[in-house]
Amino acid sequence: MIWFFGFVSACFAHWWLVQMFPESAAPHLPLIVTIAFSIVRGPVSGQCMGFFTGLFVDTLSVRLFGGQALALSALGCLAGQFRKKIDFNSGLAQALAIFTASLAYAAAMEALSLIFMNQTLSGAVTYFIGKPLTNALAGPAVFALLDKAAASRRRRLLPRAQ
Amino acid sequence: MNVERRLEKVLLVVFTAVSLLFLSLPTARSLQVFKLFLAYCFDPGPQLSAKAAEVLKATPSNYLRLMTVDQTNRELRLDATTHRLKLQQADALLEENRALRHVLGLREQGLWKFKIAGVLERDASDWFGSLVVDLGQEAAIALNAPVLGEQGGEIGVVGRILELRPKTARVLLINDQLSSIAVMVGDSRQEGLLTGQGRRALRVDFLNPEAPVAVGDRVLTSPTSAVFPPGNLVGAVRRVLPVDPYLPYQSVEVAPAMDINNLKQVLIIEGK
Repeated sequence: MIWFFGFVSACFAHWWLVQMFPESAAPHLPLIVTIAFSIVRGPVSGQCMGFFTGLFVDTLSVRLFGGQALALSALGCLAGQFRKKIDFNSGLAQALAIFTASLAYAAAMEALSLIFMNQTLSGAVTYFIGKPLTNALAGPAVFALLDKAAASRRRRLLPRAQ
Repeated sequence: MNVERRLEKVLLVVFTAVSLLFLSLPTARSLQVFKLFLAYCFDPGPQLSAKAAEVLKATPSNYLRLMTVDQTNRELRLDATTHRLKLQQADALLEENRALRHVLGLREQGLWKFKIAGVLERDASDWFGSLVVDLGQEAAIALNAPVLGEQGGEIGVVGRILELRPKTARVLLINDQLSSIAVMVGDSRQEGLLTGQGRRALRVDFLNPEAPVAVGDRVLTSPTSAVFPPGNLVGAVRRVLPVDPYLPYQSVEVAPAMDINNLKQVLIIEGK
């Protein structure tokens, strides 16, 4: 349920943010949600989220079809590997994780564009500086929301004290 | 734990393979069509944002309109209250009038009943002569019934019913040359005969040459009129014509109270 809600809200909120704000001012919600799911719920959940939200964004963009799905699912898998090794409870760690993932995402998209379209991405400054910063700022909020949802689910599943 | 790790690896391979397959597909027309189809299915965004933008854009003018409507509503409420008060006064006066008539032994006057009819058509060749309204025999409209109009808060004479058909009726306008009405002019209530001239202006003849008639005097229907109820506004004196020494009366030109060109609805009086 949380996964589905996360998927839908990531897709639609992303679309609205892209429509309403300039490119660098709109955080890349699918990326943030993917990383947050990988860290909070594990790599399988993160990969699935990355692949499907990536596919959604691919569908709506005129660029490479499948590029975002590949980059986001790989990032989801990768972020899941670090969840047990690094403490992501602080907001700073979460912001740093999102910032690093955004840089990796930009590099992956650049590489894919070079390989499959034989051209570099337009607006590299936005992708390598603007986006990572806005993503890092918005990231902790998404983590907090996801933590809250997970905590409320845990409370529901726990047997009530008599 | 092992199952989860295995699933993780399987998913990585599957997702990577599927993504690479999509990436390696040429940007063929079929793929573009598929993408457009998906975009159409998944993407209500543009329509919603366009609608939202329209609503936002129209908000100030809608607000202004709402305020205007509110203001008009207040004025109309005030008007309605005033009219209600006047109606109460009129009822009291009517009752008093009825009692006085009874005391004086005069015949009681009934109140008018009327029907509202829409103007259907005008004949270009007979523009100032007649018009057709959308009530006829089926609405129990009688021949020669007086027809009044309402403009700018005043009720004035328009003409009388000339021809009846089941669903329509032809109105002979007071501007027509065949039309003539007994009228009273000015405060002195001099009686005369108003006739149509086949144009916008009307003419009143047979006025006493000694009577003080001035431009702007109101012209009302006379109690001696065979068709119209007394006291209905017909128009106002526009010009006092020079007295002809060979004629024993004076004439005036009258501007009609009702602008025939702007009539959309008329009142047909059911009983004089």
